[in-house]
Amino acid sequence: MRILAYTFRRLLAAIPVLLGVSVLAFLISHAIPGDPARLIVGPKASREAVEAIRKEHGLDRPLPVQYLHFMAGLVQGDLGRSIRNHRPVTEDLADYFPATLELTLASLLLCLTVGIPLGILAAVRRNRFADHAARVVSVIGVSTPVFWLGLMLLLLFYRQLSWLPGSGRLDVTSAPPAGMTGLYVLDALFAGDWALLREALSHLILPAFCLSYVYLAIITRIVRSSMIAVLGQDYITTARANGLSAGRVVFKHAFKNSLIPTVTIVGLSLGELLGGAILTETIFAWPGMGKYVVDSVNSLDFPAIMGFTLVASTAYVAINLGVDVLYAFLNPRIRY
Amino acid sequence: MHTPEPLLDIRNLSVSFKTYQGRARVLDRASLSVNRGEIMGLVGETGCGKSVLSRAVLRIIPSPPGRIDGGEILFEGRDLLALPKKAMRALRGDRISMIFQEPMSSLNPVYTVGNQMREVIRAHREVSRAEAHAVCLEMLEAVRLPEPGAVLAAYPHELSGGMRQRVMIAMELSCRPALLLADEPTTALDVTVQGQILAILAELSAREGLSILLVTHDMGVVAQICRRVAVMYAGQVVEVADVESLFARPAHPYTRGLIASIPGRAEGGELYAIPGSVPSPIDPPPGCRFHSRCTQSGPDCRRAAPGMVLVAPDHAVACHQCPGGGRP
Amino acid sequence: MPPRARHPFIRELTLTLGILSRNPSAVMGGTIIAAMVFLALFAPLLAPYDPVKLALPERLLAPGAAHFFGTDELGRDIFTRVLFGARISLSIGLLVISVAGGLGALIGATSGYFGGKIDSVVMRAMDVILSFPSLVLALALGAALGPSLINAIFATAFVMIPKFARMVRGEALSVRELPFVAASRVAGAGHAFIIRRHILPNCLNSAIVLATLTLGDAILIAASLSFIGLGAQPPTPEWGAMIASGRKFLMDQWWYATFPGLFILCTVIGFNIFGDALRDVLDPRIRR
Repeated sequence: MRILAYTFRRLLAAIPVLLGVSVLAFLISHAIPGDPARLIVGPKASREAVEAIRKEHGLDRPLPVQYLHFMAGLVQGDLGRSIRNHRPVTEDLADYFPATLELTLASLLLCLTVGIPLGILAAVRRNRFADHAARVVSVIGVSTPVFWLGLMLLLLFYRQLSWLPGSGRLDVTSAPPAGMTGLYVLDALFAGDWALLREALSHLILPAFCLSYVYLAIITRIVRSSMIAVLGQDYITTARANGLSAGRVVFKHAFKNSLIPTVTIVGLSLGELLGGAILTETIFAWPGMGKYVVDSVNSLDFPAIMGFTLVASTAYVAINLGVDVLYAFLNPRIRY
Repeated sequence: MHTPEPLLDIRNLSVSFKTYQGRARVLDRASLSVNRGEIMGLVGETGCGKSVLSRAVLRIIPSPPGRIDGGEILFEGRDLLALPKKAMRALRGDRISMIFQEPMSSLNPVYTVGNQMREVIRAHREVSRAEAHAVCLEMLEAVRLPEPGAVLAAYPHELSGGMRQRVMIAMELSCRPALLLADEPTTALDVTVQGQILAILAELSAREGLSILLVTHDMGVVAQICRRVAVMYAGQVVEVADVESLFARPAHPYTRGLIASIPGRAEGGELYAIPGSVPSPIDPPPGCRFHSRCTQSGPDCRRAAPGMVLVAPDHAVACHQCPGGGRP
Repeated sequence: MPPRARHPFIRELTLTLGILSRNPSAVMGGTIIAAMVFLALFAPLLAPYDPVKLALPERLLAPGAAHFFGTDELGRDIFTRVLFGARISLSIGLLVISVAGGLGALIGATSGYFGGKIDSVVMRAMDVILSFPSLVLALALGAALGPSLINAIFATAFVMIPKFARMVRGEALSVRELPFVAASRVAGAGHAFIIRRHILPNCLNSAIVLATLTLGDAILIAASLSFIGLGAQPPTPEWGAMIASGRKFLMDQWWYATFPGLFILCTVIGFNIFGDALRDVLDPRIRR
């Protein structure tokens, strides 16, 4: 019961944050030096088109009025129209969303299934070499430019070794699996189409690894350091003194406690993952929202850019909310 | 007359720790024994090795820095140091239990009390969850905790320090061990709560025939519930006696200094402190480790470490200068 | 002869440098940073060619004796451009940190010092900025302001302000309770004076550590923006922009995108390693 009340309170607390996000997004698109109307229609539009847009969107009205107009549109799900193809931005984003979801989920899965066991192992088998190695790997991971890493991976695995394909979610000749989720790997799995599943996976591996690389290092490091801290606690000594097996001590008593700081970091990393997806999708020609926004930058399609920004930050706020709830789930002390 | 074999017989136990400055000899051929059904005090100042000794019995000294260098720990006739790991693990929590100094941090904060208590019981006995739960309730009542059901459902942070220590006692005694190692169980508690905890320990010992090795730095605690007491200094056991004999006729100069240091004991109303400080375990003085601070040290004291010798019935001391004592 | 009395700041500095020189991470990170700074400062002297002049007959040559890192599609020597890129990236890093640090410190100090409503509102605003993934917000800002290096610097700085604001605010909150601040007020000191004299100097250690650690991030974000097309514009030899150009030729001219990225990697590693070591050394708890 307490967890529900806590969740509700966190949800309420998220509302002013979302409002703030909308204000900032509004200010960026309406209050920067330069002409907001031109941002909407693009650099190539004629002066009459710019004036028409200015009238239509009320851009000559005072700022607070504009904000209300902006919010009215937002709550109706109107994120404006893309300059490039004149479709509503919401439709564009909906089209590209599943690809980004698949990539992000795959990266997250990779981070957790590799990072957590590696971190636990490094904590339990503690020696000076492991300490140094962990630190080194972590620093390199955090310092690597994601877009460059992607290119290097392509050079190695696609160009040199020809082990993996270089772009897209499927081979050019293949048709996507019929399915509900839009995640090709899952859809192919449910359809029992093994060949397509293999293909989708082979296209997914490289971008997912590229995207997860940085956060893998971070997560391994935080799991390791929090496990080490936890293993030094008195209640672990108690558990050992009570004759509990090593497995029980580590995986029941230590692990849950070490997850507490880990979960916070994972939440933060997820946000950054969204940012990294922008670059990764571009490198691997992965048709997701990230690539969409980069293409929008190239044509200065500002409504599309702002639409993406709002969606990404809302997702980030939602993720952090989820992390808060998970945190309360793990740590009974903060359920008040 | 045949004296029954002691429950726990520690013989010449030596333990060392690796530190940046070298190897610290924390326990140096320490010997003591605990009989069945008795509460034995182990007293000494901070750093004398008493906690290490109690942890050595359970073999939970962290092994990379720590190392058992020699000696035997006989429990019910078996040498614990020679036992395979699995057998040792079976003993822990079942035949020998331990309670620690800090009740605030000795329980896992993310699981309920009931979860942790049931776990210990089910690790050693083939019982169902319901049966384990019943045992937990019984044990909580034995330590006089009101509303045991609510306690079992609570998380550790929802209980006070005194309550947590009672929970610890209940948890550790749930498998009816023969020996309880209590490492400064009352040091972190309020004075009023201290008395209650000690009373519970005394009662359980009398009722169940439980042996307790009570490690403490507080002579007052020793006087309250111990029947026998061992005094440690710098990794060595220097005197073992029954409580009355120790307080009435302390033999070892260090013990005499300890007792004189108890506030209110010294004549003239001034506080007495033993001059000097504890020697470093990395480079201990030769011979008797106390000789540099001893008011009665002689030439023998620097040359050889004294062995334990009886100076009175049930009163042994390791000191060259004591009447009847000294020659190893 | 009485010992020379040194200004406490110099003493503190010498002590810190002494400790750092014994720390292998600090030495390694410091060496990398020093190397990059050296390359940046002396780029015009070290570079064998002109970074922007076209030389079409020499386009897309593989690395060799004449061109260590090969040439790009306009015949320009990549090694030269990478050297000049060091100037740009390091300047970007410094500018971003200065702006973010300066504004952030001001915001944080004011917020923490005055407390109450001001503090709530300001910290909420910082939270809002932190609710956007960094690159996403920088991208939106950069796009709104227009593609140019200066705009990218400002966008990156904006995203990093909350970190500095929070850190300084924390210090301000603890410092303002100290007796000497009350004494200052009684003596008639104004708010600005107190902030300047008492609060900001106490943050210096943490600020230096934070600055070093975020410098790497700043370079990465700015390079990412340039890669996308929002930061440095051609023909500026910025590392991220070079990688973007090199991407078109990746398969057959691997050197084009590889070397600039390698330099980004090394520079950021240098700042991160050094920052980590600095944090260990300057951490007030460890120092005691």
